[in-house]
Amino acid sequence: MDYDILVLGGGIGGYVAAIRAAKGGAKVALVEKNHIGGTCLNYGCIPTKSLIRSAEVLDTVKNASDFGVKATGAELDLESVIKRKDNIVKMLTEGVEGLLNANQITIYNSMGNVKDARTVEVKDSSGKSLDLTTNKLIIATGSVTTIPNIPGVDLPGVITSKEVLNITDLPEEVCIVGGGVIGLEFAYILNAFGAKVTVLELLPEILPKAERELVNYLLDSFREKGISILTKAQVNAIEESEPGMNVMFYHNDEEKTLQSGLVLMAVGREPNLAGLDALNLKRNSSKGIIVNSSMETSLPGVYAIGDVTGGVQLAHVATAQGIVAAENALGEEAKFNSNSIPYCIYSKPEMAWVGLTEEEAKEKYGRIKVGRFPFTGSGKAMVYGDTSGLVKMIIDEKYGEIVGLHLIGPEATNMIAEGVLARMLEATVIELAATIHPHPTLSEVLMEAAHMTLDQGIHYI
Amino acid sequence: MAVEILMPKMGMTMEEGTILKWVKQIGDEIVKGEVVLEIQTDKVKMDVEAPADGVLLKIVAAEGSVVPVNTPIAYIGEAGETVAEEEQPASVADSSSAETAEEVKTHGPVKATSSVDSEKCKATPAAKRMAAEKGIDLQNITPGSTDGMIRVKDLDAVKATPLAQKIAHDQGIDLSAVKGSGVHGKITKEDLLSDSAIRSSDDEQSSVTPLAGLRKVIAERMSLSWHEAPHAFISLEVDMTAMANLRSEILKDLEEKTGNKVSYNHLLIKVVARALRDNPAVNARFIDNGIDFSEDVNIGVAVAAEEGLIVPVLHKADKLNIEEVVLNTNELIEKARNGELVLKELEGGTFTISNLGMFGITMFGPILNPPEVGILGAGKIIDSPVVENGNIVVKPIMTLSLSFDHRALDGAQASLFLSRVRDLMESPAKLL
Repeated sequence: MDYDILVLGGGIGGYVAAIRAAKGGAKVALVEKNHIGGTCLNYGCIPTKSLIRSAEVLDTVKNASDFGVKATGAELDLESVIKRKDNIVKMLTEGVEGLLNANQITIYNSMGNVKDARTVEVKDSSGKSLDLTTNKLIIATGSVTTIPNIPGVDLPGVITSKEVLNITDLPEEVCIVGGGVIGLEFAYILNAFGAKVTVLELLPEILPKAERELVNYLLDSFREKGISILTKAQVNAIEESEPGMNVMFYHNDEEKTLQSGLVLMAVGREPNLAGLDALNLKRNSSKGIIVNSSMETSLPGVYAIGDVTGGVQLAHVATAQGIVAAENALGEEAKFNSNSIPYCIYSKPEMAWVGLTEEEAKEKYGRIKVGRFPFTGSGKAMVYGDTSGLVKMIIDEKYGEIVGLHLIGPEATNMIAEGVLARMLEATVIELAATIHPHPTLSEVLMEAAHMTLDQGIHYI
Repeated sequence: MAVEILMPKMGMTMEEGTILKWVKQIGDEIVKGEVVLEIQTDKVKMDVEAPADGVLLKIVAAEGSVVPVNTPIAYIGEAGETVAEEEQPASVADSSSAETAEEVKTHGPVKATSSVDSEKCKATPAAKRMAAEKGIDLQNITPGSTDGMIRVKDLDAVKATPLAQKIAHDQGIDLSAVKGSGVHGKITKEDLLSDSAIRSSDDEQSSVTPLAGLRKVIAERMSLSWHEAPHAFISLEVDMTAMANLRSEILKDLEEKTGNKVSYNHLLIKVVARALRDNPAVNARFIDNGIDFSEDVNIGVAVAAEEGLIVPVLHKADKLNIEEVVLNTNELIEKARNGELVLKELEGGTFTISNLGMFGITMFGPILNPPEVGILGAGKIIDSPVVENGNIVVKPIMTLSLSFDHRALDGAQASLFLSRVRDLMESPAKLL
């Protein structure tokens, strides 16, 4: 065998698995056809957050007078925004390559074609085919954007989240097809960059799995910014018009047309199964590779992690699963626990949650208690200049288990980590309430919400 | 300054005592040395004497309370003197004495009003100290015993999430019996649910009598013995003809002298004491990973008292003549049955004899009485067919079984001892 463990795909799940495997003493190869870092670093998490940060700075500068700062003539320089994003991506991907090298992981910059559970065909730098043999295989090929079968989706003005990251010429009107997390984040970004944004969502609800109260708060805030969000809107066709395109859709049983200079397809992502046919792995209804809690597929010694499993498509889930797969491939025992996965939306306001919604909690636990604490009760939020949003904490009445924690507001995505840790360690509301939080910080809202949940609220009635 | 009366520590293993009765009441004048109250340790009833002259100012632990050792239970001072708050005990372990006993509440700025209310915690001083050192919140600890008192061992045992601890406490689940699936084997809620799911199938928790008092002590000591000492068992048969003759010869004479009947058990004690003297390897105690060969031969005699097994100790048994063996043993058994034994009469054993012959038992494997390394089980004497010189004859046979701690001695030494016992019983003249 050439390698103990071969990882197919160098995204955030794959490269983490490779490093963990190498740290465990295995001889490891990583096969990546494109850029190390995958979707997350190159076309997803990191670049979008870079654009969002630029949007925030623009917003802050525009509102500088609120802070007693005179700043006039603030405007967006989209080319520089993209350049900044590119620099960050470059630094990160180079950093990851450095980590891989430091861990003596052999990188093959090639498409990997799996011949059987122990053999992966790659092309070397000269283009020659090469069969790599490995003891264990970790599939981390990620996902690709789903392009719905709609007439006109191949028009040049119809793009995906990948292309939009490099847009330097933003049209006045943008239509986003799909109101999921990706669609909403781009709605926020492109709106902040000055476009008139309309989101068309097929389902009757935006973010159906998130806490309704907070979603409504988010949508109200989006609408205040001028973003239109239509649900039960089914796109039928996209046609060229002068200028731009016409997006034709059904809404409330009516056929409607939307004029748009750019159509962003954000209906979802599907498992990338390229090069895996020979394995004939069992797959689920969303085309994902079926795995057990050890991340092992229907073939012993073959693991699959991240988006290619068709499960929760989040970078941090892929990372966690990558570590579990690597540990099992090393002969250690690890299980992936999906109880406490944090979900984040990086718009303004930010939204983040872990655990069950109030409705789900009621169904599962029967007797629950809910505590809310708004950011208007936080001194630090006032200082920060953003008191929008709230924390909603849901506990099981009997033992005080933190069943769900939902945040919307400033730094929600950073602060949810505490809730994840609390759930992971099974801290109850008592421990969270008794935990000393630094003052003044935004994080105090979690402690305050815990007090509220116990009917012992201090800074809120 | 008022003087504290502390719950005394009466023996190495004593962790707590129960207040049985306040002989003196608040306001009573007391002379140093007078009995102020009666307590019950895990072994015996004891009187607690006044450490100073004065007036009984305050009683902080009501009758029935279980109090850790070295914890103040009352104050003696001058008439009219008041006991300062800080002089009051940190903890007194009994909910029935809530009015007089100040209980420690573990903190947290929040006290919930609902069922997730912070619990009041009862803990031994050692447990409190350890909890403070290790930063353990006692509120999260599930007491390992039924009295609700948190002990050091409970702290050591904790490897469960706060949520799992709360559920376990609420549902009375013994965490030590649950296998944890969390990080580093930590017990999570899920582990408990699957575990308690099994328990709830018979759903008759109320029919379980919680361990208490002597039963609890026996349970703990037997578990400890069985877990720690690798037991090995040997047995042999003894021809009791000579013993029977000896007994009938001395029976009448001794009865006249002592007013007591000499039993085979008395004779067995006498013989075993001698055999122990001859085989010091068996007359030993396994302590702190070492063997303490005892100078004295102190034989414990297992007695079935009403509350359970109790083992009074016949000290220096090898130095006693048969008359003394009869008298002293009978006295100890009588005291054991009436709960009148003092601590001295329960400590220091180097070997134990357990006789189940009166129940018709012929042979059994007794569990060692730690830290002793040997225990002899005597069975019923049965007239049995024995081959002697090619003929089958009937003889009174008793089976003797020896359990020994294989850490301390080997089969050869144990066998030498046991065959020495047989030898002496079959030829009692060798006792001379």
